[in-house]
Amino acid sequence: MAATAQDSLAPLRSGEGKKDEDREEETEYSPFYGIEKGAVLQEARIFHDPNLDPRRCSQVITKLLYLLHQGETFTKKEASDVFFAATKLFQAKDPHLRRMVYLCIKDICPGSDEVIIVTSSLMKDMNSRVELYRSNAVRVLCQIVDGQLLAQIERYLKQAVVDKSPVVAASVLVSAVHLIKHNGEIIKRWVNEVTEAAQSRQPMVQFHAVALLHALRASDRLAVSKLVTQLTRAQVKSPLAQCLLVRYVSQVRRRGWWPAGATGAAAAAAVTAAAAAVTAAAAAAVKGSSEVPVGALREQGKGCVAGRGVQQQQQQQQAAQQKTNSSSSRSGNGRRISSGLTLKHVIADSQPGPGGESRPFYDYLEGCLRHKSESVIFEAARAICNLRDVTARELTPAITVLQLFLSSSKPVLRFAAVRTLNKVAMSHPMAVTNCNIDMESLISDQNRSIATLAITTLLKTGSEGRVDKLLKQIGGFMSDIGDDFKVVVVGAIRSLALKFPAKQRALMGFLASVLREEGGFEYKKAIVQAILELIQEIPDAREAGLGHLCEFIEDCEFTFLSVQVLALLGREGPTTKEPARYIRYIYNRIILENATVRAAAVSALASFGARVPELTARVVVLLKRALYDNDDEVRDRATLHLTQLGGAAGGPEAICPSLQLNLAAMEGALAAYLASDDTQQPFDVSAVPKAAPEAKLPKPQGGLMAAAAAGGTAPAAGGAAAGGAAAAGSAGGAGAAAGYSSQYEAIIKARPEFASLGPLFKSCAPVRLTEEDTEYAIHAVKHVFAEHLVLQFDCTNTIAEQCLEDVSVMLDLAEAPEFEAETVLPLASMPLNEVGQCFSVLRRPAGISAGKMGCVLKFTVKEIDPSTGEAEEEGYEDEYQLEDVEVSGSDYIRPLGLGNFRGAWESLDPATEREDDYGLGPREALQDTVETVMGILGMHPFEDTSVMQPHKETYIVYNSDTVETVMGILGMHPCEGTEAVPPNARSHTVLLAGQLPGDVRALVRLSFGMGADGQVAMKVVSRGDSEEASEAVHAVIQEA
Amino acid sequence: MDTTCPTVKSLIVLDSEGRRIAVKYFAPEWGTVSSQANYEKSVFAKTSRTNARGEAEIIMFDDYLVVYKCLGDLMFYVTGSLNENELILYSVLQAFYEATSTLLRQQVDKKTVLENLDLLLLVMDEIVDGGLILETDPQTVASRVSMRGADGEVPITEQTFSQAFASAKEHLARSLLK
Repeated sequence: MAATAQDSLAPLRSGEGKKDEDREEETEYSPFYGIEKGAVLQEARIFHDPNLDPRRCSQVITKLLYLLHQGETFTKKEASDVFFAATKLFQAKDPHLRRMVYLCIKDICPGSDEVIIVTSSLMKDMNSRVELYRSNAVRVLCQIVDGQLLAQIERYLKQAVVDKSPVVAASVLVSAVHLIKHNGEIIKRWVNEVTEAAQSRQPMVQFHAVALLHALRASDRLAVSKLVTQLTRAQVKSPLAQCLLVRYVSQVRRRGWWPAGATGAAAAAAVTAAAAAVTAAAAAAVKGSSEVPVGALREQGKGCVAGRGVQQQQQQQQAAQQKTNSSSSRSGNGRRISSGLTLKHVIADSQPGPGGESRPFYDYLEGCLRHKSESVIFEAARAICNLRDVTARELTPAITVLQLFLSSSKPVLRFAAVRTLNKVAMSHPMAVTNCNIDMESLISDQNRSIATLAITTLLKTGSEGRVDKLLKQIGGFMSDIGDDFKVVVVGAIRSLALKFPAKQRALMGFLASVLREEGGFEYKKAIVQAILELIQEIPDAREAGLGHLCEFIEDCEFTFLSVQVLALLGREGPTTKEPARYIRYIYNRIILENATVRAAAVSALASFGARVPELTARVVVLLKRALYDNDDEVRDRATLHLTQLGGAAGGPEAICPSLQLNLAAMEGALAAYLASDDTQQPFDVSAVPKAAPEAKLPKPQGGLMAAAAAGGTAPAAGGAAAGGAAAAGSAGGAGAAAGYSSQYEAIIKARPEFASLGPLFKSCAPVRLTEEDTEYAIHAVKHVFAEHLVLQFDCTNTIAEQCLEDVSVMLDLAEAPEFEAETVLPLASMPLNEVGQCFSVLRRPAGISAGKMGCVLKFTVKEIDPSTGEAEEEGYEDEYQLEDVEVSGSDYIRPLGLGNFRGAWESLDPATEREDDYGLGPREALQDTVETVMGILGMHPFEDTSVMQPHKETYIVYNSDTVETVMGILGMHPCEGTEAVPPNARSHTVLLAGQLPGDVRALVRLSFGMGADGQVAMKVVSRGDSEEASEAVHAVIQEA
Repeated sequence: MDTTCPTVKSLIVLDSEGRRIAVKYFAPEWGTVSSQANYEKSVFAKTSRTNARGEAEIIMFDDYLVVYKCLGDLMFYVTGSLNENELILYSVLQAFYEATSTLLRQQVDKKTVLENLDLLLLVMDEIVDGGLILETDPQTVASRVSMRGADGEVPITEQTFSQAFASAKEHLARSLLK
C-alpha cells in the first residue's frame, strides 16, 4: 500500500538512488508515512459522525491538504464528496477546526453548483461576533462565489470594508482586488467605503484600500494622477501603501501621463480640494480638472505670483474654509501649509523652466528616502534611479541611501542596493563612483550574486587608473566562484578592454592567467571569445593575444576551442612580425592531438606556407610528415596543401581563399542557378556579391548587465544582437538600410541580367512614388553597383477590373545628365495586390553624382470582362505620372564597421582632411540632430568617445533630440555608443565611418555644440582614402 | 491584476534534501505539478549550498527573485518577479519563518513541522492571499493562525469566573511546560 503512494509522489522526490534508505529513516518521524489517498478519503467519513471529534477531523483535513500539496489530485467526485462532508463540520464549535475547514474549502474549490451548500454557513460566520470568523468567511466566500451570488452578499461585504477590525477590512479589500477583474461594476459601488478605509490607521487596511482605489481607476489615467496627487498629500502611514504610491508616481511619470498642464491641473485640484475653498473659479477647476486648458492654469499661477497672490489666495481659501466649516478642518492646519507648497508646484510645473524639465513629485520621492521603513526607502531610491533622463543632482540622495544599504548586514539589502546601482552605472557611471569603496568590499561577499553585481558595476564605473587594482582584487576572487559568474566577469573584462584599449596589456594578461586555470567549457569558451575579440578590435593586443592562445592550445582539452584557435592562427599569424614562432605550436598539434585538431593544424600550417614565402620550404617539410597520418582527413588536407604549395590546384592562393561571399546571396544565386534550365554553363561565382565587412555593432553596455542579471553566460552574440536592435532603433536610417540591403539583395541576385554589373554595393530604402490610395502603388529602390545604378520599381495594381501588362518606367534624365540609360527590364504583368518588379539600369559616372529623374509609368491596360473574369485581348497603352526619383550623395555611402577608429583615422592621409562648420539653427536636443546627420551619411559611428562630457553643475537644456535629427540625415551607423548623447550634454562628438563604391573609406568626426539659446552648431571633419571621398561627405551634408 | 501591486509568486518549504514539505504557488506559470517540481529542483540546487542560517539570503535566477532562509533542516523560500522590491519579499519571508517559529515554539525542524503541518499551511494562508500580501507582522499572523480570541466565542470581559480561571490555569500549565 505504501509503495503505491510513494510511486505516485515520485516526481516530487529527488535523490532517486537512495530513496529506499531515506524512506526507512523517514518512517521514524513522518506522520504522513505511507499515506494513501483512498484511505484518507475513507477517513473523511468521520466528518459525518454526529459526535464530532474536532481533533481527529483537523488531522484528516491536514492529511487531505498534505496530499494536495504533494501534487495529488482528486477526481471531481472525490472532491465533491470531501466538500460535502466538510460542510458538516460547520456544526462544530472548535475554532481551529473551523479555520481548517475554511482552508480546506478554499483549496478544494467546489464546483459552482455546490457553492450554495456552504454559502449560508459562511454568511452566518460573516456576521459572527468573532472577527477571525468574519474575516475568514469573507475570504472563502469571495473566492468561491460567482457574480450573481456576489450581488446578494454585496451589502455585507461593503459594510465589512469599514469594519473596525483590521483583519476583516483587509480581508474584504484583498478579496475585492481579486474580484475586480470579473465583477468590477459591483466593486465600483464601494468607492466611498474604500476611500474611507484608505485613511485607516491600520497599515494593511490602508495598503489594500490604496491598491483597490488605484485598481478601480487603472483605466482612467487622469483619475489615477488625481488619486496620486491626493494620496501624496494625505497621511499615508503604511509602508506598503507608501511603496504603492511611489510606484504609482513613477508609473505616471514613466507613461507620460503628466504633461505639464495636466500636472498643474491635478495639483491645482489638490490645492483647492485641500483648502476646501468654494470660490467659483476653484470649483470649476475641481470639476473640470480634466478639461481645464493649460493656459488658464498658467494664468492662474502667474496671477498668483504677480499680485502677491499666493498669500492672498491662501488667506481667501482659509477664510472660505472657516466659513464653510468643512469636514476637512480637522487636518486643515497641516494641509494649509502644504497647500502653499503645492501652489509653488503649480507655478513650477506650469512654467517650463529653462529646460522644460520640472519633475512633479520628485520632492515626494526624495521625502520617501527619509521614511523609517527600509522597503519604502528602497522603493523610492529605485524609483528615482529609474526616472527617465534623471540628472546627477537628482540621483545623489538616492545613491547616498543605497550606499548605506551596501554596508548592511543583511544580504537582501546589499543585493537590492547593488542591483540598483549596477543599473544606474549603465547610464550614469560617474554618479556611482562614490560607492566604489563600499562596492570593493562586496567583491568578497558570501552571496555570489552580490559579488558579481559589485564587480560588474565596478568595471563599468572604474576609471582607467583603477583597472590594475581592480584586476588584482578580482584575481583573488576568481578561484572561489562558480563558472556562471566567471563568465559574467570575463564579459565585463572584455568590454572594459574595449573601453580602455590602452589597458589591454593588463587585461589581456588577466584573461591569459584565468585561461590557464581550471574551468569548464563554457568558461574557457568565454575567455577565448574575449581574447579573439580583443585581437580583432585592438591591433596592439594581437601579438600578445596570439601568444596566449598558442600557450592555451598546448594544453587544451576542448577540441572545439583548439580548432577555433588554430583557424585564427592560420588567419592572423602570417601577418605578424614573426610568423615563424607560431609554427612550432601548430606543428605540436599535428604530433599530439586528435584527428580533428590535427586537420585544423594542417590547414593553419599551410596558410603560413602560402602567405609567408620565406617559410614555405619549412612548411612543406612539416606537411610531408603529415602525409603518413592515420586519419584520412588529415592526409587529404596535407596532400592537397602540398600540391597547392607546389603551384598546382590553384596555387598557394587557393589555400586561404579570400573568397568572402555573402552566404545568403550565394545561396540565393545557387538556387536560381539550379532553377534555371541552363545548367550547361558553369556557375559564375563572381556574380555573387562579396560579403560586406562584418558590421561591428555597438556593444551595448546593457548587454553585460543583461548577462549578469540572467546569471548565465555572457553571449557575445546576444550582446551584439541586442546592440543591433538598439542601433536599428536609434540610428534609424542606417539600421533600416542594412535591413533593406539583405531584403533586396536576394531580388537582385535572382535576375541574371544584373550578374554582369558586378557585386551590389548598396541598396537604399524604398521611396514611394505614388500617393496613398491610388490605382497603382509604386515604390522605387536604388541599387548602387560599381559602374551602374539600378532602379527597381516595386509595382502593385490595386484595381481588380484591369489587367496591366508590359509595365515599365520611363525615365527623364534631363535633371540628371550624368546618368545614361542602358537597359530597361519591363514587368510582363503587374500583379493584383502583390508586388512585381521592373528595373531600369543606368550607367553612372565614377564618383558621386546626384540628380533628379522624372518617372512615367508606361503600361498596356486590358479590361477584365466581368462575366468571364478574363482579360480582353485588345488593350490600349497608357501612362501614369510618378513622383521624381532623387539620387543623393548618401546613396553612395554605406556603414562600415571598424574596430579602432582612432587607428584608422591616423592611418589616413591628413591631406585628405576637410573641415567645415554648419549652423543647424535652434534644436531642442542634440540626440535628434546627431541621428539625422548619421542618417544622411549612412556611416558607422565609433567608440565610446570620451569627448562627450555632460556639463554637470550648470542648468542645461536637454539636448538629445538634436542628436536624433542629425543621425537621421546621415543614415550612418553609430558605433559603440557615440550615437547616444548623455542627457543634458551641451556638446558631443560622434565618430562615423562609411564606405564609398570602390572600397574607399570615409571617416567623419562630427562635433556638436549647443549655445545657451538652443542654437546648435556642427563641425564636420572628414578624412578618406581619397580626397573625393572626404569631399563627398561634405557634399552630402551641404545638400541636406 | 494590477501590476503595480507587490505580489508573491510562491511560498515554498523544502526539507534538507529538496523534498517538498508544503508549497503554495500563486502564479499561473506553474500550473502543473511537474513544472512546480522542476522549479523547486532548480531553486534547491542553486541555494542548498549557501549559508542562509544567519541572515536571509537572496538569489536572482531565470525570471525570479528568490529570498530564502534556512531554519533547522528546512528551507523557506519566497519567490517574486524580477522587478519586485527585494525588501518587500524579505518582509514576507520574515513573517513566514518567524510566525512558523513562534507557533512551533522555536522548534523548527522537519519532524515538528510535519506533525504540525496544519499550522504551517495556515501561516501560508494568513500571509499571502492569492499572491497579494495579507499580513507581514509575524506576531499577528501567529495569533490569527491560533485563532486567538475565538475560543468559545466569548470575549474575556464576558467570561464567567470559572471560565476565566480555567483558561488562566491552562495558560499557566502551557508556560510551565515550555
